[in-house]
Amino acid sequence: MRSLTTGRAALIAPAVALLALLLLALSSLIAASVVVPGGPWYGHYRKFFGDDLYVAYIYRSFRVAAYTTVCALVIGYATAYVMTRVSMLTRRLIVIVLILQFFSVSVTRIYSIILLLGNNGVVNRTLLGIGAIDAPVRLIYNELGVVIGLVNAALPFAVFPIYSVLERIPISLREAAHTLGAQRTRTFWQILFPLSLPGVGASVVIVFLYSLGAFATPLLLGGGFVDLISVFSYEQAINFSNYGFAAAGAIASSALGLAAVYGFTALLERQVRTA
Amino acid sequence: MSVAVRFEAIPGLGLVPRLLTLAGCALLVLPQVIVVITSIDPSPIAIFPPKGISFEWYVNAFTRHAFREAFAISVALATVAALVSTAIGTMAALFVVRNRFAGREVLIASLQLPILIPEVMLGLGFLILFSRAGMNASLLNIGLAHIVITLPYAMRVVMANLQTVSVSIEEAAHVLGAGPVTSFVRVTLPVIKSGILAALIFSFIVSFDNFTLTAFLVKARGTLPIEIYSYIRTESDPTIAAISTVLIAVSVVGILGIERVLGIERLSQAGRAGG
Repeated sequence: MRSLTTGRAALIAPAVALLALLLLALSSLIAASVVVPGGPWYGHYRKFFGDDLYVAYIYRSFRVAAYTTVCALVIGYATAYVMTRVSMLTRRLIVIVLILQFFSVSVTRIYSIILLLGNNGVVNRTLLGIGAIDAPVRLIYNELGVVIGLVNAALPFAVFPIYSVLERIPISLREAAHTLGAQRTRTFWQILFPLSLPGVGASVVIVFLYSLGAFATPLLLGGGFVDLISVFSYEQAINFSNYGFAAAGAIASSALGLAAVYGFTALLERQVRTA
Repeated sequence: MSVAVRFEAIPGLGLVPRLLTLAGCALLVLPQVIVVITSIDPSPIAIFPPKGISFEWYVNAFTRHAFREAFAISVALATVAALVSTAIGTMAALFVVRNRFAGREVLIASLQLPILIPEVMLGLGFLILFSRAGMNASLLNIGLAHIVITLPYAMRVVMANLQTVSVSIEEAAHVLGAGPVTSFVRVTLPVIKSGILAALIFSFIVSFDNFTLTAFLVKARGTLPIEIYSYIRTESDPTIAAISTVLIAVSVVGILGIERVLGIERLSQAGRAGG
């Protein structure tokens, strides 16, 4: 029989049209970065990498992404681990807290962090109130603030891949290790952690690439003091209509980010194989 | 006896994972709680704890023309994006799930591209494409871009739902005398109804929340996240706290709604690589 859904190319045509639109946008981006009036095709890239001022944008972005990844991984791993060991009710509660992040509007989420950590924020007022500090401590509008904001946004991405690996490791494995005399810490580092490496790898890749590409968080929590590559591209494009140079910066950082992730994944795979 | 002792002795959760999990949850929940409390603070600089209870910031948020207009634009935009991308995504999901053809895997992967590409690159690419093509209608451009980025979510949710449905029920309907259209509308559609509903909610939220892509394309009147951003830059009163509180309430209702339709486990799967 002929179903309504088999063999009808018309079903996929609109999705393919949208895909074409996406590819057109990406080609425009690449084209803009290599079309230099009166110069060689690599002119924008040469200008970008030839000036320490511009390279510093990428360096800062990588540093912030690395800090964020480490923090999110440590907190995220602990959360995923706890989720496999607590009652169903507690687990559901944690899942709802994490899911709420996906559903909250990013700009208001960032605003809420300003209310918490700003000079007039809850943390500073509390510390001033109890006399622990004499003047407000600068917690945002610097790299620390951007990292805190990114960890806040990326934590769910860190937890779920690790949790889905951890929940599949049979509890009997831990019992066996314990029966054979292994202590908690040793059971964790020698049994559980090596088995969860694929989940850790997925978390690291997702959180790192997310942080490297983040825009709203550094824009608002950097307060103009933390110039990351995403903000650079935006300012070049919007304030100076310098599309080609903006595109070169964005493409260069993404390419370097993908290369870093590729290297990390290769190392991890070798680790998993020898473990 | 010895068996009982052995099971009791499975090592419990250590203190470190518990503390880290608590810190992570606090980082996600605390700012939201502070926003809600700040929204009823009568003083014009958002400080905590509030000195009284006042709803003037809610009044300000609802009576300000810029916010009302931005809210209307955001709702209209998200509604159109959700309807269009869910329709296109459902058709595409039906096509790739029900048909086997060369390049099927590549097509499925390509249609997920908008989630994988950093939004700054997408925003810049669309900006360059639209300006080269002479397309200056700000809202139309933003709408097209939103449909492109919401499509992967819509398609993924419906695909997950469709994979649980066997094509044989359509065949059964056919054997019983139903035509292809009847068997689709009366048999297939009711089964994937929950997936379609979830796809609508997901794509609505992704569009409503979007800041980065929109920031690159907005020319005149902005969406709600754009207006919130420009307000935060110049004002520090708790008006945004009032708006955030309303949005948090809507998110919570939205999550509970999706949980009823899909279940929380499926929800976390669908949201895993997104946001």
